[in-house]
Amino acid sequence: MILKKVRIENFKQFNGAHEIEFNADGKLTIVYGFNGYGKTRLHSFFHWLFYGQDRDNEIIYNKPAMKSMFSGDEITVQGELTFEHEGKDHVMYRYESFKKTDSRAFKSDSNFKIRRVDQHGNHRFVDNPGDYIEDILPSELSEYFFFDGEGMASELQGDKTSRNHKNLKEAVNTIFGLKLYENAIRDIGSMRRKNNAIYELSKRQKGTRDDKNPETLRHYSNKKSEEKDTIDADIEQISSELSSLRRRNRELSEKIGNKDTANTLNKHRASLHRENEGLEKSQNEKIDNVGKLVGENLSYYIVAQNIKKVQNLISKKVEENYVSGVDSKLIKNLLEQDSCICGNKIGKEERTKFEKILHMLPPHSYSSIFYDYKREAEDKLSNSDEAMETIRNTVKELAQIENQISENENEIDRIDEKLRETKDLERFVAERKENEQKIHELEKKKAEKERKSSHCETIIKATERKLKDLLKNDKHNKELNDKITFLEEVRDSLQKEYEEKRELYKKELEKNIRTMVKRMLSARRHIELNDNYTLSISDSYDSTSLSKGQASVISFAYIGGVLNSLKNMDVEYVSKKYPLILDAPISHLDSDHIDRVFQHLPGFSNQIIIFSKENIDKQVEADDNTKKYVILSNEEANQAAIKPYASSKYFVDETHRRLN
Amino acid sequence: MEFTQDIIYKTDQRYVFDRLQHNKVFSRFIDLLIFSISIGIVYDERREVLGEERIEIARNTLMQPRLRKALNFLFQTAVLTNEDLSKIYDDDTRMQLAFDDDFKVENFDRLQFLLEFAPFGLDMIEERVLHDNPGTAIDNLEEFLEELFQEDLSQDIMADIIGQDIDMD
Repeated sequence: MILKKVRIENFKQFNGAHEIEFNADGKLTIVYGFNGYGKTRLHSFFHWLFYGQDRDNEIIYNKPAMKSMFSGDEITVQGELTFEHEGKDHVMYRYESFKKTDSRAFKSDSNFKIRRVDQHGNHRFVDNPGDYIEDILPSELSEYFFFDGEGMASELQGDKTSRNHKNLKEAVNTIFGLKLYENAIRDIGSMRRKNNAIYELSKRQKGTRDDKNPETLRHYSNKKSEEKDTIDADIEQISSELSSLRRRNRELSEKIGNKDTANTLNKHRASLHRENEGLEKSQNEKIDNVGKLVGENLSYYIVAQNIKKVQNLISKKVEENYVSGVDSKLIKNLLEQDSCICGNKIGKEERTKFEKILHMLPPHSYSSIFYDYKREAEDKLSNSDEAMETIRNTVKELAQIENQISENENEIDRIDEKLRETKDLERFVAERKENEQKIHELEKKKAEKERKSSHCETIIKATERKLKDLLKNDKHNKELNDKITFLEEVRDSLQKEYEEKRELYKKELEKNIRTMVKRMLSARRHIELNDNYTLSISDSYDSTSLSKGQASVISFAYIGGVLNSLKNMDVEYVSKKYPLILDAPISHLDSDHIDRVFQHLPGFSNQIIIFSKENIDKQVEADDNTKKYVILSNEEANQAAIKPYASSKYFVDETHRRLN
Repeated sequence: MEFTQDIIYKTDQRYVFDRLQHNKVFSRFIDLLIFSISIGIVYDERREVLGEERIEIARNTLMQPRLRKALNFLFQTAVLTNEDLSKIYDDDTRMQLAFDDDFKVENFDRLQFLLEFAPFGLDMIEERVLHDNPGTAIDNLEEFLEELFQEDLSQDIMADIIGQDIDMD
C-alpha cells in the first residue's frame, strides 16, 4: 500500500478542506506542527479514515463551525485517500454527517467506499470496503504503522501499565502471517473446547446406551479441559519466572565466580598500607636529614670560590707582614720603652710607626689566622663531598621509595575497585540466594500444578475414551469420528508448522532489532526478544532503566526490525509494503540520536510520513524531494490549516505559524 | 664572631621557610638561613632584610659548634670577598673585622651584615627549589646544589690549603 494523496475536511480543528500529497517514491513527507496545533489529531484522522473509529473518542466535527450553524444545518466530516495497492490505484472515501438540533448535534449519515481502477481504467466500487481495508492493513496493526513513538516505548518493554501488550503479540503475529495459523488451529479446535469444528462434529455424535449420556461426558471433559488450561497457564507463567530467575542466577554466578573474596583483598590492602606507612616514615627521615646536611656541611662547599679568594688575600698579607718574631706583644712592649733593643732611642716618629704596626696586627698573627681559616675550610670541605654524595644517594633512594609508594597506592586503588565490586558481589550473593529460595518454592508450586494438570489430562483422556467407546459402534458416529481424526491431524500439522515458523521469525526479528538498536542507539544495550514480543533491555550493569529518548530510539529500532524482517522473510501472503506514519517520535531525542534515526529511517519502509514539532530540515537536507507541510493554528488552537512548508521561519517567528 | 643573643630575623619571605618546613626538607630555619647566606655570598648579592614576619633562632642553637663555626666562617669569607665592603675598607681593616671580634668599626653590625646575604639566597631557593611535593623539592635541591658546586675549584682549594707550607709562629 502506497499513499498518494489525502484530503481532510472539517475533521476536528481542520475546518474546511485541506490536502496533502505524499511522496510515493520512497522519499519522506514531513508535516510540521507545534504542540497543540493538531499533529496528533491529524494522525488520528488516518485511523478514522481507515477504520471509522476515532482513537481518542472525541467529537470529530469542527466545533466552532458547528457552533456558528443554525439548528437543522448539517456539517460533513470527510476524508478521501488516494492510494496504490498491488499495482492498482484506489480511492477511499469516508464521510460522517452531523445535524445540528437545538440541544445537540447527532450523526445523520455516514458512508465508506473504496473505488478501484481496473486494468481497463474503469472505476469500480469494491464490495465490503471494511473487510477490504482490513485485508490490506489490519486494524490491529494500525498502531504500529500509525506510529506513536512515546506510547509504544513502554509497551515494547512489557510495561503492564501501558496499553495491553497482548496487542503487540497479536500485531506481530499478524504481520508475519502467523495469525492465520492461530486462527486455523483455533477454528479446528478440539473436543475439549467449545465453538470449533471438532467440538461441533463431536456434538453430532449420539449415544447408544441410555445409562451414559455423551453430553454429560462432553460437559465433564470440557470442564476439566478448562481447569487444565488454567493450570497450564499458571505453569507457563511459573516456567517463565523460573527461566528468568535461572538466567539471572547464571549471570550472577559468572560474576561471583571470578572475584577474590573481600577478606583476602582486605588483608592484602592492609599489608600494602602498612608497607606504605613504613616507606613514608623512611622517606620523611631521609628528607629530614637533607636540610641539616646542607646547613652544617654544604655552606663551605657552596662558597668554595670565595674561600679561594680569601686564601689568596691572606697569603698576600702573610707575605707582606710576615716578620719573624714580631707580634703585638713585642710592639706593645717596645711602646712602653724609651729605647729599642738595638739601643736606638724611640722617638715620636718611631712611636707613631710602632702604633701603626700595632694597629695593623690582629690578636694573632696572619699566619695563625690563615692556619685557623685553613683548618676550618679543610675540615668542612673534606666533609662536603661526603655530604653531597649522601644527598645524591638520598635523592635516588627517595625516588625509589616514591615509586614503591606509588606502585602500592595503585595496587590499593585496584584492590579498592575490586572491593567495590565485592560490595556488588555481596549483593549478588544475597540476590542469588534469594533467587534460589524463590526457584525452590516455584519448583514446588510448578510440580504441584503439573501433578494437577496431569491428573486433569488423565481424567480428560479417560472421559474421551469413554465417549469414544460409547459412540464407536454406531456408523454415523464412526463417520464423524473419521472426520474428527482428519481434522486433528490437520490441526497438529498446522500447529507444528506454526511453532517452527514462529521460532524462526522470532529469531530473525530479534536479530534485526539488535542490528537496528546497535546502529541507532549510541549507548550499548543488550536486547532480548521475549515470547510475547516484548523486549528485555539491559546495560552492562544489568540496569534495565532507559531514558525517554533511549526508549524512543528503541521503538524506532523495533519498527525498523519488524519491517526489515518482513523484507527478508519468505511470507507470500503478507503484504510487504506498508506506509509508516510517525507521530512526534523525536521529541525526546538529542541531536546525535535524531541524526542516527534519520540515517536509517528511509530504509524502514517504501513510504514514511513524519509529523514533527522539531525542525528536521538538517536531517533531510540531502533529499531535495522531501515534501513538507506545516500546520497553522489560531491562538485558541481550535482552527487549523495545512499549507506547504515555506521556510524555517515557521520555527522562530510566531507570525509564520499563525492562522489569520 | 660571637653570638650573645637570639637572632630575630624579620622578613617578608617566611613562606619559603614555612613551605620547606612543611615538606620537612628544612625543618630548622638555621639550616635554611646558612644555605641562603652561602648563596648570597657566592653571588655577592646583599640587600636589606625587610618584613614583619619574625623567625627566631635561639642563642643556644647558635652556640652549637658546627653551626656557630659555619656562621663564623661564612662571616669571615663574606667580609673578605664582598665587593662593596672592599670599596669602603682596606684589606687590613677587613682582616681585622673578620678575625678580631674586639675590633669595632662605626656603623658596622657584623650580624646584620651577614644576614643581608640571606634574602637573595631565599629568592633563589624559592625560584629553584621550592615545591609542595617533598620529592620534587629534594630533586630540585640536588640539581641546584650540583650547579652551585664547582668540584674542580673545591679540589684546587683543598690542594692549596693542604699543600702550602707556611711558617707558624
